[in-house]
Amino acid sequence: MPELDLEEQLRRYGDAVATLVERGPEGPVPRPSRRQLTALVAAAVVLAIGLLGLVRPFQGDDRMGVTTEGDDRRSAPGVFSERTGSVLLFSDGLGGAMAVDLDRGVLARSRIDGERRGDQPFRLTLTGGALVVGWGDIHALPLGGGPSRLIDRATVYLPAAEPGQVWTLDYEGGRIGVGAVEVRRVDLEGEVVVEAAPFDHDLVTPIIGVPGGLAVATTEGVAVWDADTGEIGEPLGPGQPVFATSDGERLSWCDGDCTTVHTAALERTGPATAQHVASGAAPVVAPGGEHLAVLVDTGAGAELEVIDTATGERTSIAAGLDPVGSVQWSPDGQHLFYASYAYEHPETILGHHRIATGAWEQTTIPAGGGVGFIVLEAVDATRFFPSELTRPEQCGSAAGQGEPCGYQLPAVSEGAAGVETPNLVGLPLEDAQRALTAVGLLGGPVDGDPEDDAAVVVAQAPDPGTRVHDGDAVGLRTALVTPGLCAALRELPATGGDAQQLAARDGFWDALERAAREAPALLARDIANLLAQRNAGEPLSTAPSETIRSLDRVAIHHRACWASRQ
Amino acid sequence: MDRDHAAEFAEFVAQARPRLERAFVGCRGVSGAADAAAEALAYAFEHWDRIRALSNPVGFLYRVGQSRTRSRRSPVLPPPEAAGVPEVEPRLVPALLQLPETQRTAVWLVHACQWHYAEVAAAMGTSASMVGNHVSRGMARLREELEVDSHA
Repeated sequence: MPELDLEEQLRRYGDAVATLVERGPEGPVPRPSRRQLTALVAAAVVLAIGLLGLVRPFQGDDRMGVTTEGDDRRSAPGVFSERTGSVLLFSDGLGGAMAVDLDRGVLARSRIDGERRGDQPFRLTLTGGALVVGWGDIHALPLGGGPSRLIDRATVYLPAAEPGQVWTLDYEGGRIGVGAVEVRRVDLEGEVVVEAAPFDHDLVTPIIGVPGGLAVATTEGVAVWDADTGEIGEPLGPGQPVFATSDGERLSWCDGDCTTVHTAALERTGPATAQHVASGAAPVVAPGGEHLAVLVDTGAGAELEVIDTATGERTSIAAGLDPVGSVQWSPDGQHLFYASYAYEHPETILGHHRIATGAWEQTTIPAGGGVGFIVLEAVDATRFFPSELTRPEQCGSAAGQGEPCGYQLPAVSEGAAGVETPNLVGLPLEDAQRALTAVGLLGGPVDGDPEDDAAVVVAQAPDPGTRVHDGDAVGLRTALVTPGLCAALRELPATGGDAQQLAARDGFWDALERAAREAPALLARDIANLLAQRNAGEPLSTAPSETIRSLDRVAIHHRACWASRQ
Repeated sequence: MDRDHAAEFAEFVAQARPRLERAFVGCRGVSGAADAAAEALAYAFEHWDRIRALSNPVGFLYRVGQSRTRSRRSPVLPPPEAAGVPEVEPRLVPALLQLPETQRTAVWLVHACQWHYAEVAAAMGTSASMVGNHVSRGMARLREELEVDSHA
């Protein structure tokens, strides 16, 4: 790419993002701040508890040793409070996928042969029981098992309406939009089903498959190219869309930021265009065609709208979302899911809307990297989950390595004393520890950021078989406790976890000094903070907030030591 | 703060906020830039007597905003197409995010924000020659990643 003026590209990009930031106080990719997140999560938890009468018990899962025994205070393991029957499969934009089983709260990463990083309009397409991935070398991965198969060599592919087939585009210049483009439709065995005469890309740009052909952008608007006749029909409507969607009877596309959505009837009808991950927000039609979901960029985040395709009525579902996030429907068209764009981001914001009830639920999972997703029924997603979720250390890299790896996904919220993981309550401690380790919540701060230290929640079994203690009504705050540490802390009588009461006990400082010798690194730092305050001759009542939080964590460990003895 | 100082501060905010927000995009992403700028300006309000006497208050406040919004998270930057500049090479953003933080910050402030080396040096708490060093290394990495001729 010798002609690229890098300095000029950086300046243009800088101009563009500066405009995005200036659009509104939330910015175009709104993510709640820690304080906002805490307030939102607290409100959501209170609301959820109020609505559900506390939380459901665990459902069984032998692989993680999740128990079905227990009282009603245990949290459900699912990402959302309502069952969805769905697995979200995210493309990581590199060479793999991240699967999130929403009902079991299990996450797994795996490599997909043929998927690769690069500029492409579509990253994952689900068709005919296989995932189509890649550019240059287009591959199909059977969901039922077996390796990826090379199905064509072409610049990129587009989803087709014909099940088990995709369109491939091979540009003369080797890059999208460079030179004339050869267009063909291939099946999952690599057989060419349709081969078209080359298109002049300056005049016609293929967008997506529709029954019997391709939706194309022309200089006069959006039209359909008929694969049988090779003719391009009359324009269906205006615009130069990059992405469109079709339920097999109609074609829908957006102008610009999707404030205007065009829908036009197709002359030839058939199956809906295969579900796919597009490189950007796009309208998505529900299976059956009754509803259309769009993310509308309002300038202060995106608004998720559902459009009734029969009446055109628009219903706002949620606001303040990521304009470059993505939405998808469940296979039955009853559940709508949203995910923020999380490439190189450690968290993903997920949303769930159920058509029947109108309910909307939003949560954040401590795993990122996804650039878009498709929805699978859980029964079709088994190949993405390993038989044993015992290898969380394999899940550190974005793409995963070799065999799939997976782990229980803690549902993370932020509370007064740091991160809380309510859905781990009741788990055997070793499983909770594994889950926390897998998502980086256990094992220490990444770069010594004190905010991260404050957010670390740790759990370790002092005795085999001990289960995670239910710290309080809304979440879990557990401690890394060892016999030596507890021997020191138990010199102080139980206080029920009240930090100030604990600090007022006789012998507090002596016990603290003994505990420091047995404490794991993070707690040792907390104790050092407190001792520094004491050594400076300053009372704890005047300590900075970070030292008070250190005291809170010492109190949590103190309570855990007493609880683990019972 | 008296009325004259309040007016002066308001004028400063109007001029400094856009520069700070744009600068923070490089290290805090689009979503965190406004927060970081707000933190920095809140500090400026509290310490206006000190800030107004500085020769490069924006550079100093950049450091304030950085320290007040420390995060281990990588910044989130939208793809060029989503930012409304589809003509920008899509691989530029991931390549930028892969740079070490000092190089990314220097490259971002110099080329994406058009700051002078002296301003960047004040913002990064280093010398102008070190800024030049970071920019040079960062741009070389970007060129390598994007397979751009070094003399283009």
